[in-house]
Amino acid sequence: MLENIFKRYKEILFFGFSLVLISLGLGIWRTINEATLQGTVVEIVLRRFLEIIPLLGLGFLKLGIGFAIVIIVKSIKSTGENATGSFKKAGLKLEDYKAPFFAKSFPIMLIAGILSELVAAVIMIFWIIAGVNGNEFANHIYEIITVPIEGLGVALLIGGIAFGLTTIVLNLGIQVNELPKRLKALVKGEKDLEVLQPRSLIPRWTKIVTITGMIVTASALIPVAIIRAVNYAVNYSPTYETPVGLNALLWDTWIFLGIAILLFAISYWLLRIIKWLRRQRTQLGKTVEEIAEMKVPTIENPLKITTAVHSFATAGLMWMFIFFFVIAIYQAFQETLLGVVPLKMLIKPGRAISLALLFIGIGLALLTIVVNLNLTAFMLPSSFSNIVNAIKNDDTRVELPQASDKPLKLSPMKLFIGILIGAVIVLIGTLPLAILRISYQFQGLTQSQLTVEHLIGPIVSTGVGLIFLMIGLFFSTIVGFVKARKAIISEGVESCVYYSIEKK
Amino acid sequence: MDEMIKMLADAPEEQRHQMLTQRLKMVAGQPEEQRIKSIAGLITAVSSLKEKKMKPFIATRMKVFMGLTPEEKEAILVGRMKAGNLLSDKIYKIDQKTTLEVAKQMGEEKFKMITGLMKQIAEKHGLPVPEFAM
Repeated sequence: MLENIFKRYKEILFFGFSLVLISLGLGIWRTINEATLQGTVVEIVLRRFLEIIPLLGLGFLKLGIGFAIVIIVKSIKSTGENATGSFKKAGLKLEDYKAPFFAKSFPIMLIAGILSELVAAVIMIFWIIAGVNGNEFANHIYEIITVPIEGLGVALLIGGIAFGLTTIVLNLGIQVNELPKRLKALVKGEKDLEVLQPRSLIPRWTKIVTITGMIVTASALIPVAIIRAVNYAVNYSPTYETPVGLNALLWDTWIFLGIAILLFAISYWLLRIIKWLRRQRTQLGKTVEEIAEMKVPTIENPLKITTAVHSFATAGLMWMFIFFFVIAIYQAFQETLLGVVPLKMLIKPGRAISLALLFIGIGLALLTIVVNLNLTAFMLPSSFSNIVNAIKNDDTRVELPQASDKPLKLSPMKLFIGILIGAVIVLIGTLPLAILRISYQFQGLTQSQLTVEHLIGPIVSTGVGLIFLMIGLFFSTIVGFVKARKAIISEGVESCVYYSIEKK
Repeated sequence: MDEMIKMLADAPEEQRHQMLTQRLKMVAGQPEEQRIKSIAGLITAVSSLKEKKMKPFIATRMKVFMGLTPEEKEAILVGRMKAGNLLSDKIYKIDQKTTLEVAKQMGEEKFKMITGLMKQIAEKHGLPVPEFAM
């Protein structure tokens, strides 16, 4: 049953995005009718609904991305299994690799993540009822409980995506290193091969960063809940401020720091995938040169945009770190001169800039991956044709494709533009409003007079939702290439094995 | 295979031509049993395309086929005729009908050449001659 659900990743993506769009529509409607809605049941319901539903929509979008990664992992794994099965038929002594814990558990993490978000949505219903009935105690308790559950869901979903990418790195790494070695052994008639240590294929630091990001994201909102619960119990007041002067906004930014760490880790997993895909082509080229005794064109230089991925990822994370510490200092010296700076208003735009940088980096990495997969799809069939002909003692050689002079032509630029538009929407949702809020403060007006205030959440969610949708569609394109790669490698290896057995 | 064909159907003509050439050359070099399976998979995937995309795809396939060596052409055609046993009647007929339509659009001379080659290969390998009526 799960298999069928994984395959429906596109429907899940569009369902998530539709929830985000519904929230945007309701947010606009609420803003337009603010005066008439004030104090009504509709306003109570909408306020709570719009806190949870956009997040649930984003949760489904992350789930869709995660499930597309599950399909990619399954396809890469079965490519390896098919090839291993064929090589074993030829008498090669091969050991099966055991899947590490993260490879087995990442789909469970994704499911647990969306379940957490759904639990938060169910609590929202009770929260709405409590709000409508005017039950103050229940109202605040539900609000307090929802926050950490949401945080846990976000950590599990983005962490699941990151560990899914780790699994791709592992499986792809094994194949990139093993396939040429096994093909050469097949041709030379060797049976015993040096065993590869899969652990060496996983960059330790990226794994540590991923785990750190998950812990930070999952734990960040728990202090917020405790602070609010304690404060509520002591003062019978649901405000953010605590008796000891700690501010929940600081912890609220902490969750974004966790998300930024996870996105940074994701960028580096994608960079490792790019590295393996390039190596796959160079290694395969060398194998063709050796087995088929022919000249193989060298592959193109690494794309310049790959370097930009490092820059965007580092700048995005650094920005979030600096921003977090500035807020911490601001909290500590609120009463002094520093407190004059209206920093609170800049919290949302600050986070948005960091996330936009990180997402642009991820978009560029995905562009490069699709370009590399395209070039691999060009190269694989002719490589196998030449190896098969060499095994058959047939002198016919098929020319391998020349290095592409404009490889970016092979990239789905529309999807990347979608990510850029999403990033701009996120910034539009925060920056102009922040400027308005600051000008209001200087004019001595209260924030509640700013009617568009309610639109920040839905606009930012729409921007992030669009980014997630485009990332999901990028992965959908990758699914196509990975399945094509599976067909070509499985058939190619099978042909090599068939003719090598026949030759004997 | 479905995903690969869908991807190729959406790709620009030049890229589709290049990739299909590599793919057909690879399939032509496969052992017979595997080649039949590969061609059956290819036909099934093509039949799942919408007509708007299926015709340009089959046209590219035809152009690629014409550019293959005589040995490769023979291997592909034998595989195609034998793949009929692995396919449902409906799928095989859709492919056959669209292939002939596309061949006709390419000109009478090309149509005769393809149908003549099919007939010749079928007779050489003792296979039933495909129907050319559209």
